Amino acid sequence: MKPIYINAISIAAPSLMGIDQAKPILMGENQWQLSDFPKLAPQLLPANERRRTTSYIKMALQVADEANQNADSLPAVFASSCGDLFIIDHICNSMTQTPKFVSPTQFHNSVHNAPSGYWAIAAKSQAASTSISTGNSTFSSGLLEAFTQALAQQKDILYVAYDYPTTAPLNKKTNVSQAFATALILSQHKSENSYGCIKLSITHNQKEKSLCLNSSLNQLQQSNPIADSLPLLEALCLKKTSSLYLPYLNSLKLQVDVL
Amino acid sequence: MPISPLTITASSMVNALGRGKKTTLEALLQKQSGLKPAKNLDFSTWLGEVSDLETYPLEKSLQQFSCRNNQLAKLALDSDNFRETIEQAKQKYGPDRIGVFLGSSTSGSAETEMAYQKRDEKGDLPQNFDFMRTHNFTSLLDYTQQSLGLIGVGHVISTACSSSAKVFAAAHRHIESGFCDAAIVGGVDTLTETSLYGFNSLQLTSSEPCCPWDEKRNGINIGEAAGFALLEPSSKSGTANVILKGYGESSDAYHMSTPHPEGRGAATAMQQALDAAVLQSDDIDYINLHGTATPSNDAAEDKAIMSIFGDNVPCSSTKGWTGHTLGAAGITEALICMLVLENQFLPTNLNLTTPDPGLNSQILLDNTSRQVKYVISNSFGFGGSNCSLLFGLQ
Repeated sequence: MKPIYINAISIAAPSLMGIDQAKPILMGENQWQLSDFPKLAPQLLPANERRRTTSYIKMALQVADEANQNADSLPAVFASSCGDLFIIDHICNSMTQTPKFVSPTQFHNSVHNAPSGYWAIAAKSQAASTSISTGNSTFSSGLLEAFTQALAQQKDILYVAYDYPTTAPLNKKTNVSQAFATALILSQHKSENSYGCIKLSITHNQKEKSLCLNSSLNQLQQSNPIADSLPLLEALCLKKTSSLYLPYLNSLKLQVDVL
Repeated sequence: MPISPLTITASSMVNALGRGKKTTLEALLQKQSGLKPAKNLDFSTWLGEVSDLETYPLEKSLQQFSCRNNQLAKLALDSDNFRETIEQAKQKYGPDRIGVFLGSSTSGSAETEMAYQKRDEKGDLPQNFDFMRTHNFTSLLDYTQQSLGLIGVGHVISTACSSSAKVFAAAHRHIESGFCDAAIVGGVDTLTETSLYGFNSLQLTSSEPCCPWDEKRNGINIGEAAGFALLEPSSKSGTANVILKGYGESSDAYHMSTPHPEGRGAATAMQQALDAAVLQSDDIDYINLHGTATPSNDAAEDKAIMSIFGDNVPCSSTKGWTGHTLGAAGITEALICMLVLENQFLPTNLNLTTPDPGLNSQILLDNTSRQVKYVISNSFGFGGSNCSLLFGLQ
């Protein structure tokens, strides 16, 4: 199997807003501390479209835009465990009212592929785009899908993964307590700024999932299924050859060899 | 880019027409719709509901996944001898080498709707409500894998109404890159208040039986359905069968809930499917339309078809039988295409009385027996997500 290059990384999480702010922490030079997640206004979206979107959608677009600096129309994989919990909460609430009414904008924003649809409109990309979930292992499943797409074609692939927390009462039922999003560009070809390359395999060995090298990030890693990407982002930023084990379906692990 | 074909070696389906492929085939041949007037809604519409699902429990060991969506999944897994064939495939490939790629737009989200109705005085949701094992999309995958005893790769695609068409492409890529040797694809979608009232608030539901391509068409009838198919590399399948020969995926990049008026993304998806199959437009004998019966959807799809096929290919929408089964529409209509190929007939457009004179593709006005070798199935969804699948006889 060919290795696939990671030619760009972006991130949005508390105290990790953008790869430039995140790098010293991902490289173990600074400690991570919890802070409020800021309100985002991704410039990719025209203001009138931006008003119709939620924090969840904005976060996905922010990292997609940061990773895809050439503004290419790339095939894209979007991955999120829970979808837009704010919208789910809002619509389920409105279904308890009389008369029952769903706002048209909230309804079309409620589809799992809403961030993908807004990104395609904003980036004017008519390329294929998918939107997936596998709960706690969503980051790994999305990475695997993006990897198979990168193997199948010469084009670069944009991979965007994100989950955003909600408030009571639904927050207690989900696996998301902090906002976390990341995006990667996967490619068969090494770029000037490449972080290195990865190979993927599924392992049935009872390996523990990889934890962050910078232990101050462990709290963040447990707060959002997409934050299981952190050990991989660390290895890529450090250009550290390693074998990582990310949570995958059931008791399986996705083995990511960083070369 | 040409792809290596995959053979459908087993399949099962359940929808408003009933349980099993034979039931759907007979309803198609006899032109009997599964749509009925909706009850218990604040507005009038027709629905494609699966009856008696409430009394079809999950396995005792998998009760934690209990919800209407997984009950419908089980009903399909228990139909058409599908489970038994998967047991044989497990012997052949191993339970870790069969991938599972499923599409859904609803998953078990009706459970969350019900939980909100049952909040206590503090506003908390019921203790026994399990969001991650019912509503979260992974519920459908986890249930299906555990019910079949599979431990390989997989994921759930949720791209609105193209969800369970795109699973064919994902399965193909995972097999091609060696992460599995065979794959189950499928889709399961069930009626939810969110989708019923949501489509109604967008003024996209019809108060009459839906009539795709008709000049009086005024919206969709929502349906529920489940379907599964086992895909094996054609070289390993052994028997003459229906094959996946091509697929195409694209984005409209136009609007969240309205298709590109010229059907730009739809045309790209169909052309890619032809290219992947190394076929020309005149090789295609039938197109199963997305054909939802909203004025704008059918008009955009018609333009897309005319730009590639002209009026040379017979087309029909089968949503007059099943309703629009949203996240399960891709697999339902893929399996209808399989029935078309196996039985060498083309289904008509049920409920179509006066074809819209503004639409120009060759629309079928009655069931037709004829030689069929290659067919295309279209699925287009909110967010401008398009997928076309190309099936043929081996």
